[in-house]
Amino acid sequence: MTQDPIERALAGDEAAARQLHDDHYPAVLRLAYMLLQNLQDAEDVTQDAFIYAFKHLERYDAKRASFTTWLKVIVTSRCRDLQRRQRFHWLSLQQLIDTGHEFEDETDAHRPDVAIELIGAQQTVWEALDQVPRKSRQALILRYFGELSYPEMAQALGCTVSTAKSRVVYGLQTLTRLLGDETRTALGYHLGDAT
Amino acid sequence: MSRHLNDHQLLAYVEDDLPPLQREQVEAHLHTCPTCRARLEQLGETATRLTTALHATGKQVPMAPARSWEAVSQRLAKRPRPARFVAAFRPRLRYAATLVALAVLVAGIAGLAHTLAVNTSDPEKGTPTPHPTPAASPSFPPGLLPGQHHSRTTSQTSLLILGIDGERASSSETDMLMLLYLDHEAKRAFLLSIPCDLYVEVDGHGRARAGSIYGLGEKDESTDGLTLARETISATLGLPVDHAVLVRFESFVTLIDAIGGVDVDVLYAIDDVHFPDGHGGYAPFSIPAGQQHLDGALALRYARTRAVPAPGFDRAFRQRQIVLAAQERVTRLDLLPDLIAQSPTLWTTISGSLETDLSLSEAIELALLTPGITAADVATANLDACCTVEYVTPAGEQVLLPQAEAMEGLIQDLLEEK
Repeated sequence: MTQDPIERALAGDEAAARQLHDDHYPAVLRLAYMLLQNLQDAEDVTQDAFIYAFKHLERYDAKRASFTTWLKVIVTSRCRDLQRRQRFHWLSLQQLIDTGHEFEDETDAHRPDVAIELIGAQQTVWEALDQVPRKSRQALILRYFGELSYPEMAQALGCTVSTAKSRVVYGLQTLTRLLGDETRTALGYHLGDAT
Repeated sequence: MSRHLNDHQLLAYVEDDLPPLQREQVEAHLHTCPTCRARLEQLGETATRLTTALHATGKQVPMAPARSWEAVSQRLAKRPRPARFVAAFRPRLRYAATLVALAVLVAGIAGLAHTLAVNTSDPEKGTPTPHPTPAASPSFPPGLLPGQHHSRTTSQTSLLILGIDGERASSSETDMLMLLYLDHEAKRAFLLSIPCDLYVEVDGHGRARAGSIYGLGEKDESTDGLTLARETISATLGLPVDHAVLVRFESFVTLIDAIGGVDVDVLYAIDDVHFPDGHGGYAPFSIPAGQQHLDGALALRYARTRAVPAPGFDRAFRQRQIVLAAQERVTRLDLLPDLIAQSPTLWTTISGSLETDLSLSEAIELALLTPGITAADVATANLDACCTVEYVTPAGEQVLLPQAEAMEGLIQDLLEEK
């Protein structure tokens, strides 16, 4: 019996499939959460991604990418599908923290409160990131959190490699400007005071 | 290079994404240009702050892998089944696997305890022979087997498990039939689910549903339920079946109590006012959320309650929790001495709540065969989808007719599964 969990899962081994799920679930859920900023949706697309992966396991090519990377590409395109379907409203993280009720709904009143507590520098960055246009923000998250290569990002985002690069550069430029503004504000600088 | 570098170039430089020549040019420019160096540092700082914030947030995302897997496996089970082994995802099989795991688990404890006791008290004798010799292995009436039955070696053992749900404790109709097959040398095992509606030829009783064989045998003076079930299933599958065991739901309580209860992380508080008391009334109970130690009775209610306080936190999920908790408990080294100390009474307790044709020594043999085989080595399959066709008997019973050729193929696959 082969030791490779992917081959075992392909052969219908449930324990191996579960092992794959459990090993890769945290990375996939985290990335989905970053992209969607909603735990309920992130859990849903994570499940979708695993179901797709298990149904199409024979398409996975270990020579091309790690299994985690493959899953990340899948989950990203699921996130984009979801956003398209819902004409997704990007809720700001601030809004989430203010209300703390984002994830409750009538059919599912027992969900624990899952608003993530942001502190200090982390909150500053998220506030800035929320002002970055969506496509660039996605690119930044895939690059700096998902650690995808540009070709992988291009696949996940349905764009060319050079577009993926441009989105990262543009996102970084915007973020640098926003964080710079914030630093100056925090230090008491104002536009009029510069001279 | 006199013009300032753009952000694309700077990022490509940082990411080592430039051809050697361009890289040298960028380096040369940076060396002489403080403006570009400052910009590079600025972009680098943004990237660092972003990465730090993203990873810090990522660590706070609440993880529920068990619930996620539950949902994924349930949804996978719903799809049309291209392969036989997808049956592994079926909830019913999981319930069955729970009972099997518990039975084998406890047999394992008894076996382990016995082995250690033998080693300590009489070192010259050594360990008991782990492999039953052909002569010593339980007799299998050769005449019952179809001609093409599979040859086997002494490292193979098979156990038929019959389950009766506690709700129908007085009934002799079995609602679970499974064949556990272990090959110690090949480190291979399979768990084959046999539908209760399988219409089989029962020696001396004509055709009958598989679920009713046990009852027919109990009423028949010339045999008994376990023997008749073992022989009938063996003849149907063309596979030797060495032993049979009947597990009643209430024995679950005894098994859990025998290992001193289980520790379970109760994800959501359970408050069930409609739990049946077995006499047509209610026996309400509640379990608070958090880490709980459950005794046999409470573990049974926890596994059986139909209250679902949160999606995914359903019976199947909770039953798996109990099995895992039981496994964890018996493998905890600090509890092992206790279990060993109890060994003289343990088997008596267990065998009192299970009906089996296994003697203590045979249980030990079986237990000694199992440790080398992990859950991952166990293939699971169900006869119903691949090997049967629906049929209504003249008496109006809805049954499944076995398809000999498909069944032969499935069993061959299982035996040769790598």
